[in-house]
Parts: sequence; C-alpha cells; structure tokens
Amino acid sequence: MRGFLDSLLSLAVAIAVGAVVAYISGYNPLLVYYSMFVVPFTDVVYVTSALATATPIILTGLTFALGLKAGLFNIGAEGQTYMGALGAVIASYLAASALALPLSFVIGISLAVAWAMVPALLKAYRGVNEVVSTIMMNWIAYWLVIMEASTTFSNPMQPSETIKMPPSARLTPLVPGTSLTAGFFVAVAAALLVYWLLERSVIGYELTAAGLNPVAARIAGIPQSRVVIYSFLLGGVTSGVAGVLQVAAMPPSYSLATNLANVYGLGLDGITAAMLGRGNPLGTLLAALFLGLMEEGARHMQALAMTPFEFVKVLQGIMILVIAVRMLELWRRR
Amino acid sequence: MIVLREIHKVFPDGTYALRGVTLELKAGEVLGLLGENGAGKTTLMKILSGIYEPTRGAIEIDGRPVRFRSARDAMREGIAMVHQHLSLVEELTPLENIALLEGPSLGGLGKLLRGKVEAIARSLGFEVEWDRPVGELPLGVRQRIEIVKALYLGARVLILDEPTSLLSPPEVKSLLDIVKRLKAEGRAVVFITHKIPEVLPVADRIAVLRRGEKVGEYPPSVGPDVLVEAMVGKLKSWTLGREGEPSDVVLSVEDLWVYDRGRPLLQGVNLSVRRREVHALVGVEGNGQEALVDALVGLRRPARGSIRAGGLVAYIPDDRHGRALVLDLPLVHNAVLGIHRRFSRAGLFDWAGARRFAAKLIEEFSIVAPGPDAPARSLSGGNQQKLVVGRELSKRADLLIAHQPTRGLDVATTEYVHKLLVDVRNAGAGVLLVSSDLDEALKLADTVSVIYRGRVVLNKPAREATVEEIGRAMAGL
Repeated sequence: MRGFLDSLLSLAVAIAVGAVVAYISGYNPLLVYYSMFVVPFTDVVYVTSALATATPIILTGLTFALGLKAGLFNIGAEGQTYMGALGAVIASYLAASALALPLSFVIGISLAVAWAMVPALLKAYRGVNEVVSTIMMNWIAYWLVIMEASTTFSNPMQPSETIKMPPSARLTPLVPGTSLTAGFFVAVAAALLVYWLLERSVIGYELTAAGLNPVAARIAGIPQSRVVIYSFLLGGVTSGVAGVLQVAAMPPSYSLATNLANVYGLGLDGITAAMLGRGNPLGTLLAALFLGLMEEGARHMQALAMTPFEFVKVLQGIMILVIAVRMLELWRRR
Repeated sequence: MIVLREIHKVFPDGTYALRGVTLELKAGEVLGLLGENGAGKTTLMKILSGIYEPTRGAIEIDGRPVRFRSARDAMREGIAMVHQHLSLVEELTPLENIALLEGPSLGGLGKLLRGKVEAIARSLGFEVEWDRPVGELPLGVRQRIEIVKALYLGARVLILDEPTSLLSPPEVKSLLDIVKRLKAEGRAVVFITHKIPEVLPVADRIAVLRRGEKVGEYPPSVGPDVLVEAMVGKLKSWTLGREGEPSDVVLSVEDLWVYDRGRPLLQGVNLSVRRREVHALVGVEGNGQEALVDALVGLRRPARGSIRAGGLVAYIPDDRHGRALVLDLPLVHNAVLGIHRRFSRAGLFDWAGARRFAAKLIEEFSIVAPGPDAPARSLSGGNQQKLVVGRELSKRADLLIAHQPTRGLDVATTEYVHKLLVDVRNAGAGVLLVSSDLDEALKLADTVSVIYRGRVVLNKPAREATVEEIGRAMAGL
C-alpha cells in the first residue's frame, strides 16, 4: 500500500515537472494533460487501443518484475520477445490451419525460454553478470530474427513483412473496429498468475527470500542457481507470450515486420512498467496500463496540443527518474 | 583532556551497544582499548570521532561539553580516526589523496603540501612514495598515509581501529614505533584491538570493554591473564542440569584447511561433536572460528580435509541480520525459512500451517511481536534472536551449530538461550557452541576446545580444564 502511494506521489511529481517542461517548450500544459489523460477515455476505439498497447508491456514487465523479486536485473525481455514472435512466424510457416495458434505458443515460448536460459545458466553456474549477458542475447536475437524474417520467412507479396498467421489461427478483435483481442486478457491472466505464484507457491517464497537476502537464503537451503533459473524461466514464458501475441493478435497484418517494428522496444517498456510497479506483478499490470494510456494519449497530444511524439518519452523519462531516485533512497536507508 | 561520560548507545534495530561507559583520554598517552568484537569498542570510538551520536551521555573537552554531528565536527576538535577499512582513493597518489581534503580551493598541489606531509612523515620516522598510486602500495604504507592525513588535519587525538589486523609482523613493529613517536609528540592515541600481545608494549593504560560496559582499567603490567579474564568474562564456572553422557559422533572434522586469498584461516583443524554433548569452541575472535563455521554450513569450500555431519544440521549464526533473517519479510516468512519445504503442498505454500507454526514459536519462545505478519525488522534484537533460536531448535536437528548465540542479548534472554541449548543437548543432539565468551562456554560445555591462529590448541573435557589454561591458550601463550 505504501509502495502504491509512493508510486502515485512520484507520478504527481513527474507530472508537475512535465508541466513545467511543456510550458517552457511553448505548449499548453493543460491541453497536454487533457489530451493525454482525458481524450483517450472519450471513445471506445481509443480505450481499446490503449489496452492493446499495454498488452505486451504487461508481459515484458512481468519478466523484469520476476527478476527484481529474485534480486536480478533481467534485461532480456526484449530479445525473448523477438524470439517469441519468431516462434509465431515459424508456426505460421509450418501449419496453415487453426493449429498454427497453439503451435505458435509452443514454439514461441520454447524459443524465448531457451533464450532466457543462456544467461540464467551462465549466472547460476559461472556467476556471469546477467545484465551483460541478457543485453548481448538481445542483440543476437535482434539480428537473428531480422535475418530469418527477411529471408526464410519473408512474405513474397509484402517484402517488409513475414508471412501472415493463417486466418483461422488469428486472435481477431473482440469488438469489430477496435484492436482489443483476447491477447489483452491473456496478459492480465498472466499477471494474476505470476502474482499468485509469488504469493502462494514455495518457489515464489524462495525467489522472494533470496531476492531480499541471498546469504540467508543460501544457508536456508535455497541455492542461488535454483532462484536464477526459475526467475528467468518464468520471465522467458511471459516475454515469449508477448512476442507470440504481437504476431497472432496484431491486426491488421498478423505478421512480423522485417524491421521488427511491432516488437521493438517492448522489453524496455516492460522495465519501465516493472519499475513503476515496484516489482509487484499487480503493480506492473497497473503501470503497463498507465503506459498504454500515455502512449495512446501521445497521439492525441500531437493532434491537439501540437507536441511532438517524443514529448511523451520525455515525460516517461522524468517519471522513471523520479521513481529511480525514490527507490535509491529507500535502498540506501536499509 | 577528553572525557566520555556515561555514554549509552542503542541502535535503531534495538541492539544495546554501550551501557554507560565513562572513559578519559590524556595528551601524551596511549590508551589500549581492548574487548571482543561486539563489545562496543568501535562504537564508542565512532561516537568520539563524530560518526555516531550517543543515545545518552556527554563528551567533554577540557571541561567544556561538545557535541559532534559529524566526523568533521570532531576533526575540528582535533580528533581523528583511522578506520579498519582504510578510506583512500586507490587510483590517486598519497599526495593527491591528502590534497583531496583541501577541496577545490587548492591552487596547485605544489611544494607547500608536499613539504608539509613530508615533514610529518619524517617526524614519525618513515618515508612514503608520494607519487605512486595508493593501489600499488602495501597496506601498511596506506595506513601510514592515513595517519599522515590525520596529522595534516591537525589531529591531537588519533584513534586506530584494529590497526594491526591487515599488517604483517614487521609492519606491526614499525606501526608500534610510530605510535610511540605520536605519544612523544604529546598526542593522545587510542589503540583498539582484541589482540592482547600487541597492546601490552605500547599502552600506558588499558581499558577493557565487555558487552557494552567498561570492565575496568589496567596498567599493562597486570599481564595477559588478567586481561583475557576481563575481556571474556569472570572466570568462574557453574553447571546446568545436564542429563546423560556424550554418545555417538554427529560431526567429525578432520584435518580441515581453509584459505582466504592465499592466507590460511584454518590449518588442519580436527574436531568432533557427539550426541548429548555441548562442545564449546572458544577463542579470541578472528582466529579461524568464522571460517570453520562457514565451512560447516557450506559457505566456504575447504582446501583440504573432511567434514562429516550425520543427519540434520541446525545453525544459529552470529550475524542474525545477514544470515538468519530476511528483515523485510514478515515474521511468518522468517519463522519457516529453511524448513519452508515442510509447508509445501504439491508446490503450493501452506500458509495456514506456517502461521500456526509461527504462532507456536511466538508462544513457546515468548517472542514479543505485534503478530505473525509484522516485518521481522520491527522486532527488537532480542526477539529476533529468539525467533532464530526457536526456529532452529524446532528443526529437531541432530547437530546444532550455535555461533555467538547470545551476542547483544540482555541477561534474561541470555539465560533463556543457555537453557534451551542444554535442553537440546539433553534431548540427544550434539551442540557445537562457538563463542568467545568464556563464561558462556564453561557454563554450557561438556568438552572445550580452544582455537588459536587456525589451529585447535587445546581440547579436553570441560570439567578437567582450568580457566587459567584456557585463558593462556586463547592468548596464544
């Protein structure tokens, strides 16, 4: 609860600072925030679009949150999302029926988990810093997936995309004319499930304890290797799902852009969500929804308040800075 | 003259570090401050040097009360502390390190500064390579730089915290020479240590702290035996209700060697613990008992030798915050740490069972806590320790390793923990009690061993051991 209030307070500070930045940049702060936080609620299309934007961020946020819980900085959601998306493309290539959907999840999650396991095993058994190894894996995934998307799986009709999901395997909008698919509910369910696992399962208990005091955990028979592997494994699953959904539930193209436009940056947004949510899965869910809202609001801001798109990024940056400062202060006080 | 009057210090976590210590310091005098780790020596000196503020009590300089809010305030009064972990920037040269103190106003690191520090060093009888990065210089030299730094700032009182802990024997000797020179210059030196032989040749007066109280002040002529006794407790022994005799072995350690970066911590330790036995391993801290415990609980890998433990092992660590508790988690979580797998129901946590278990611990060990959901951090130090002890005892282990199980506890809780340890023994488990408190060891032990510089130098049934021989073995005599 205190964490929640803390986050709200950080947001308030960030919004205030953002207003000043908007003002001195020559934009009307009231109009900026009106178009950002009010306009998106004026039309069901806007609302659903915000939810669709939030969907993958919820999932990649869970990856980072699971790492934080265990005391790890798992930056690998980005690359694991690419691998998940590649899995969906491979499934579309292998099956031309509705079967492609379950197959997408199987292949996508497997690839993402495999990608997560490399840094996990290196950390668990060789003590390799997970920040370095996950970033490296992100870049390997980036070029690997671009290569595959633009060669083996490229779409001869549309060279900027891969082949599309078979129509019967697509997760289409639940309300026609919007972009809200079942994918959103998958992401919410994942957040609830991760929360439940952390609170109710023995492995969740072990992750939490090891994250807060690794030495005491080790003495209590919780090896660091187990903690790292489970944290990365679960994180790989959620990021893999994010990648699959970005293809299977992505109208209108239902494919992967060869420049990775529909998966690029999601892992990093997830870090923002998890930080805002203080590593709590439900907090991450809320924060991701908020980020989705901001992203949607940014479009209206451009139209109404005439701000450039980057201005939202500036606001986000301010927020993360405020929260990071607050977190550092809390850590220091221990 | 500086007087510390009735100094009390209670830390936010409830640890009662100092209980009314009064101490005087005179110019031109070397005061040896002796005591076990946790006795409060460093805390007391951190109060004098402005790093901590006392909870109660006053500091007077020449009869004038002073209050230090920071180390800078104390420095202004000419009091400086050379810490055990030196605070030099390794990439900079000694000269640059000292120049840092002047801040950005220093025009150039010119000849003035160099002349000054060279003069200080010369007056103390040594030279320093002023232009080599500190990181390339040996620890003994770095320590001298710290001393020069303190004198450069005009220190009249110099506090050396465990100054010999990082030094080789020849370095120790030249440090003692420097201390003599400081004294000859009319400065006051406080020499904090737990190693008696080092302080005897230089100190004019030796103050001994134990459990946050000053036991007494002695001239160095009293000799090591008296000081050991003052440090580790009144040398009397009394017994608790012991039932049954030691039987089969539950822990056997053979020829155990442990190194830390090439430095031997254990040099062929042999030790065994039997059922219905409290085996007390005593020794002045820093003689390898920490390494032995670490090896026993799997935190350190021995270079050679074997450890055979039969059955379940319970462990009460000396550092409950770092090793036994997760302070940010609720009491329930901490109550089951290490036995949490017993609450697994097909991978899910049986929280109802865990809460019942925690409630039982609270009841059984009279833990004062707001409730099972209170964060462990909110408990007082004594209650945290009861929680740890209770948890470990409820494992019903075959072997209990208790490392300083009563450190920082009040008298009543200490008695209670002692009783519990003997109960465990009577119930048929083996207890390895690692303690530097001789009172405690002799009160509880069936067998006593003394560890000195990584070797077990004495091992005999407690009733046959005399306090004098244990004290001498502990002091390495």
